[in-house]
Amino acid sequence: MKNTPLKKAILALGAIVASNVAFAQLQEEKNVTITMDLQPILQLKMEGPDQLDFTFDEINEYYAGIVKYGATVLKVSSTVSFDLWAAGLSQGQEGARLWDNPVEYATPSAAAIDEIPLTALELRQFPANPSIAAGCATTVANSSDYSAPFQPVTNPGTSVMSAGNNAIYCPLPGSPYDAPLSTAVAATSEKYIAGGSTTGADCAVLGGSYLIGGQNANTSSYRYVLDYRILPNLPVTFPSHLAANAVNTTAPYVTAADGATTLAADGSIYANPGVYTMYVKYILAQDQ
Amino acid sequence: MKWFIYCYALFICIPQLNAQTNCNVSLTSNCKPTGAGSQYIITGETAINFTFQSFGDFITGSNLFGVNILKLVIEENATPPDDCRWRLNTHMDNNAAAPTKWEQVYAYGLSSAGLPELDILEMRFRNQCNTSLTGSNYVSLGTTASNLDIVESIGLSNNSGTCSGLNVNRPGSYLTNYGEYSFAIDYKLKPTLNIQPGIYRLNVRFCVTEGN
Repeated sequence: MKNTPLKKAILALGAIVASNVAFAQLQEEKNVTITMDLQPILQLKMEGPDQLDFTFDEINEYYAGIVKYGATVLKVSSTVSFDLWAAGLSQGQEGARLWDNPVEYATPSAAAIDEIPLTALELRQFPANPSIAAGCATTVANSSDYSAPFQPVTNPGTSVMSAGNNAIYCPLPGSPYDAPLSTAVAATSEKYIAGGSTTGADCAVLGGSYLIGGQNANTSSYRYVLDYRILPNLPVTFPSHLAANAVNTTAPYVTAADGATTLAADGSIYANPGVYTMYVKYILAQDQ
Repeated sequence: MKWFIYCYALFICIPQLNAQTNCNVSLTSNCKPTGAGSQYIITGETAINFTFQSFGDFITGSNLFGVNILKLVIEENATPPDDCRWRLNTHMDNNAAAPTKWEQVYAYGLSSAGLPELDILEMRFRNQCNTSLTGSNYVSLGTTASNLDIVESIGLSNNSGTCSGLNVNRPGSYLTNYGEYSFAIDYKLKPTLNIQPGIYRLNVRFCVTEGN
């Protein structure tokens, strides 16, 4: 038989058959695709009344203020690193960062005004913001949280008091979720209850929960007890309230009654009697 | 003669080119391939979704029992006799993501937290006769570069029928010895805290090969 194309084809076909027989092997795979949906969980549990009334109907209450100790307990469970802060807000009936004034008890005179700054509300937290001790680069001790003690009025006649550090952070009413800006400058840093600005190291609390074993109530980063104070003083000028700071550049004053100096000078302008309202929004946000 | 050599060389190469890069390559052909006597069957869902949407989910994790069952029928070629041993193993494919991480399909938010580690997925391979090399324990793989043997073949030869030992790797069938030729797979997934929220994907591959 000559070496024809037909012969070559037969040989090739034979090779194919031989190869398949020789190399057919047990080899197979099965696949299972697994999808994992990790949703960010941020749970904030607030214990305590959702309405706090401060009724000033005794002289000593005006001078000493009213403190609601442990009125709110915040408990956090989070799967992600978080920041926690309080935002003092109102509807803005009287202006941005002012208490609303649904009722006035008298027709205001020129000396009595209905503009009380939201920063007249003070908070005190326990324990302190853990990011301060942890060394968040953008925070400074004793100014980036509410852990300092409430300061007394040292001279009620002139509303002179030691500088406190408890006035509530107040964003503008149109942007209530703006986070505070914690800075390395004590006089201007805004306050977090936990965490700090930016995603820098230690500027947030790692995910965790007050539910997980081993949490010490004195030191837990997932449980905060909050006290509230309002100190009107007489004349009613709320001497502990804050003036403008870095971000709250438009934070209002009690007009012409802002602080001891003005009062000492004339003492003629004060808050009008009435019912005033504001609200506090506690915000738990993923650090990002 | 040249034609014969070219064609023969070509068809020697083809099986090698088709070999799965991640499954072990079969070195011998003493067992019949699937479709020619042997069978390899998987039952149950082959697309499994784990959704974690509460803090409790993250703490407790999620278990799915017996989601898949692998069933095998292994038949031996007539020649050479008594020389068919099979191997069953698994490995992970994360679509070329970092070898120790899940593939991130979608990220919720802008968190800079880390991606989930591969080894948070644990598996258990059960059968009535407890022939799996992993026993009754949950096991995991830390990297896509590793394989995990459920049944191995090299240097070992364990016959079926006694329902009394590990690593049965000789011919047999789930139809006659279900406890030695089937594997129910349990999955356990427990994400840790402080992982970047998002949707993640992983492909788990179960390979049957032969190798002596």
